[in-house]
Amino acid sequence: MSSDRYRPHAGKTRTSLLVRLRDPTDNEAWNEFHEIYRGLVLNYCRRRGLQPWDADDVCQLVMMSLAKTLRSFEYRPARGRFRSYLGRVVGNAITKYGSSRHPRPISLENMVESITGETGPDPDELWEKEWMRNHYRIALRGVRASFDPRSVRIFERRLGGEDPNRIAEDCDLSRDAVRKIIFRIRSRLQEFIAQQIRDEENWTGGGR
Amino acid sequence: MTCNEEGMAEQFGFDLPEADWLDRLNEATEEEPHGPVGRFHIIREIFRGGQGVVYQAHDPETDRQVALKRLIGGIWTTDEMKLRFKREAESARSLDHPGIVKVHGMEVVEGHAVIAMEWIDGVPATDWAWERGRRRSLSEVVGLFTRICDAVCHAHQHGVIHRDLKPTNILIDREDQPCVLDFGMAKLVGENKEITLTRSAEFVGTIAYASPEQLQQGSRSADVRSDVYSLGLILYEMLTGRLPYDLGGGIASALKAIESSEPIRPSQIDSGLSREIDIILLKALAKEPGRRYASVDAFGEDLRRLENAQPILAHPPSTTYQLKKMILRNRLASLFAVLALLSLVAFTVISLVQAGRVADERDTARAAQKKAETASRQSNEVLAFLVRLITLADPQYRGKDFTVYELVEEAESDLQSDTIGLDDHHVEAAIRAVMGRLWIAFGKYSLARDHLQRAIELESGMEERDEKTIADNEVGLASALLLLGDHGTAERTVRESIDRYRLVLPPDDIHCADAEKMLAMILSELARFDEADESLTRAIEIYRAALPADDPRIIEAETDLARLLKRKGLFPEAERLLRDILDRYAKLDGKEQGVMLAVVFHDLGILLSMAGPSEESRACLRKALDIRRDRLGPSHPFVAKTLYNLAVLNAEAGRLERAEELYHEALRIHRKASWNISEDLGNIQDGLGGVFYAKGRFEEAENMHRDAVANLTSALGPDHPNTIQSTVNLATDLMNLGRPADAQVLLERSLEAGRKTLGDDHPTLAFILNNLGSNALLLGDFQGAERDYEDCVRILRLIFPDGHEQTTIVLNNLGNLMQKQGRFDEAADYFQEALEMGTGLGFPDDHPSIRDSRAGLGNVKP
Repeated sequence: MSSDRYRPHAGKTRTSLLVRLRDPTDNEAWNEFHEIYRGLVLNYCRRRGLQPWDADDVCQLVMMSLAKTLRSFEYRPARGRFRSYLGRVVGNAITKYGSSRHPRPISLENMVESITGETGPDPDELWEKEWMRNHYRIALRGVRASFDPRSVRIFERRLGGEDPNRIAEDCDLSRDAVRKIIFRIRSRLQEFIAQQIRDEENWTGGGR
Repeated sequence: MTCNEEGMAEQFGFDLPEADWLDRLNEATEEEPHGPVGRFHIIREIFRGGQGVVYQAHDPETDRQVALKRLIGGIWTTDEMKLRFKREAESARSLDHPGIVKVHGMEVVEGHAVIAMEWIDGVPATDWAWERGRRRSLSEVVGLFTRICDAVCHAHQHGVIHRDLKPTNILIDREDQPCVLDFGMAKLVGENKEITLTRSAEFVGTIAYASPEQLQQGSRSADVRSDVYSLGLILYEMLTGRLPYDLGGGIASALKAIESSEPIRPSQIDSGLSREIDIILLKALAKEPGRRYASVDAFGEDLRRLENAQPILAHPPSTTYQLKKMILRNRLASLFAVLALLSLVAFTVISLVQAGRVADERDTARAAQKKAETASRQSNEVLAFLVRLITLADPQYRGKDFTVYELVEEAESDLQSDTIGLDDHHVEAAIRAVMGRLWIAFGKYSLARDHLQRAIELESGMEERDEKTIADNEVGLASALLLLGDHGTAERTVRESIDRYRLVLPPDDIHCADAEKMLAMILSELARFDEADESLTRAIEIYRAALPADDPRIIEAETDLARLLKRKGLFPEAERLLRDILDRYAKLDGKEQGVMLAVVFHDLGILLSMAGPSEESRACLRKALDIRRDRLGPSHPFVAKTLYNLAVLNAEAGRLERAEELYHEALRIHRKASWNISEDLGNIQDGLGGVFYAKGRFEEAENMHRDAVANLTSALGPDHPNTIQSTVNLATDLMNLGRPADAQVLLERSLEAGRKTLGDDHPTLAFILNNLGSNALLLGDFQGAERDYEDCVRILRLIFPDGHEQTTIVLNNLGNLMQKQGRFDEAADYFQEALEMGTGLGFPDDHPSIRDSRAGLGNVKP
């Protein structure tokens, strides 16, 4: 998949992605943005209960709208966090999409929800959670690309719930060595995520 | 850690113990499964493009794998759109061809319209053509591609146009069977492009295979010729591994490239691809639909003809058309090109005049003498052959317009068809030796070379072989090779003749001197002046020892030495030698010496005029003229020739009025004369045309050059170097008359003739290529100009490894061309190289080439 091509630039001085987006000739910036946030929007929509293809359509609408607004921004002082802004855009798109659709058969669960008034988790909370997940996913890609394959394999096995002793034995390592690998990767993930968030918050544009 | 980052650590669970943190991470990275959609089980997303998304899915109803295509949202909002989609899907479904993917049907799944299609396990056409970085063979690629054409053609015959053909829509399965996907889909998507395209790279990818008319007028404007265009692009990419335009600079420049850039010729990317491939692909890729193949069928047919080595039907676009297009595209640019060209072609005229056009009557005299010598040595049978030749020319049989050239041609064809019956090797060798020398006189150097080589082979293979005859033929062969520009072989050949003469003749024999003199000429061409000097000095010593003091051969060789000194830049020495010759021989009386002296006066006049026009230089030339008039009579062809030489000299010195008078005088002699020497007449007309050109009287120049070409063709044949040069002059007139398309025809013909007569690496070819480059510039074809100039430089480097004035001029041309295209770094490199070469050759600061290089460098490196 094309997403494998993405490599975070953690640790390097670079222009914030969101600033780069304002340069209409910087196609790479837009592609990078797309890679990072498409998953966030898509997964959020799914967690909001949209069918996969509806989620896909909403994601497309959001990206369309962002392509227009982010690229035409003039410089403006910060007006709140980008993640809040994006959350609003996605929320609006879901609402708009729902109203534009033809009426569809309502499932039994939906009918119960609409009668009892239970509407599932708070969208803002969902958004925050999904936002965190997305950063983890991106940082993990970075880890996979930047660590040696053996360490990555050990980490994946541990993530899969395997017992550290057994991993150590299989790999002919001490328990301590396995622990160190996990620790190093955890620290690197933290660095990556911190950098990703800094990048995001360097955003000086904002919703109009 | 900042406060912010502490918050982050907490939010992301980095403060948790390892096991808890891993749980958090696991939960976070869990992807939402695709799961079932409607009755389909989605296996994976395989393609996400501008149009929509394609999934590999399993259909439990039929228990088969299907490709499920869903167009991306927003377009299903109206019933009308749904209906149209259904209609398109139905027409796609009606197509039944092994090369077209089978459409199972359209249905609505969870509110989304999807099309279920046969699942093809294949790779895109371009990936198929290029496996592991290597392209499959031309015939494999073309063979498969014609089957793709068949499939698309089938759809067209059923009224279905694809509109979005691209490599990812043409899959090739494991059995190398092509399968075209997505017929009829693009029309729907094209209406709502905006909604479907969010990634710019994706957008460029989507338009990359669209035709110019689709980009300008939208997808609905597309007809079968849009599919022809897209197929052309796909074949182009399959063959060359890239697209014909650079689409790397973002959307705007990609759109511009598709709408207006001329495609790079495939053979420029891969020299193994033929001109026919160029023609076929450029026709398919024409910007205007009307200039493309009218159908995919016609496109495929032409490819089949190519495969079967039959002539293809496509023609390259006419130059008139290209010119019209160029002018429409950019009126100002073409005007600028004309102005730039005026300065470029000035070089043409000068180099032409310089290129040894100062005709020399001695050559004719020498050739006649050699011919006589040769003839006298041949057996009776050989004489019989010559008699037959001459009988052929009898006006009684041929009419008076039969030329000597045609006569020799006829003899050649007799020889080729073996009607002469050559069973004696001695006779064959002798006849071939004669033919070889005749062809040298007529400028067919390749034929001359072949005859002389064969004569040498025959003679060498004989039991009683005559080393002297072999050596004679080697000297002849060396002269053909010299004229063909093959200096290396010429040198080896003449050195062999010298060794051979030494075997059978005393070292001071005249023949050894002749061979040494030939060697000197070759070395001089190779700019190895010191060695040339040695050879020529040896020849002169032999002549002096063997011949009476007043023998014309001594004067001739000494005059050659003076020319050599002049080429070495030793002007005072050259002048001293010429004056010495005059001193020694002026007092000798006799017709022959007098005529030879005319040559010496002539050379001295030229030499003196180099320091600027002086009374003495003109006096020398007048003296040469007087001698000839006096000795030969006022209407002798040699007088006309001297007038011509004088005219050339004046033209060279920029005295155009005087040159024109002299040319006219020479012409008058020819008009009044009872004889008709078309060659001389042609040369004079060519020279006069050059004067008209230099005066900017291009129409008169054109007329004069046309007459010159006609006369030279009739005297020397169409492929003779003189005819070629005059044809090129005619072309430059046309370029200045705003007729570069007509000029192009002449230049291409000249190039072809030049290659035939002179081989691939002759200075004349460089001269033609330089003009072709300038003409390409006129036609707005920067790529063509670059190719021609580079070809020209390549030849010049080969001939003059240590650099040459002409090389500096063409390098500057290249620099200007690069600069015009904004390729400043390359421009700077060319200018710099030209500058270094010019300086290395000792050009003064005010030399035009040095000035041009400096100006160029100043422009690109402010």
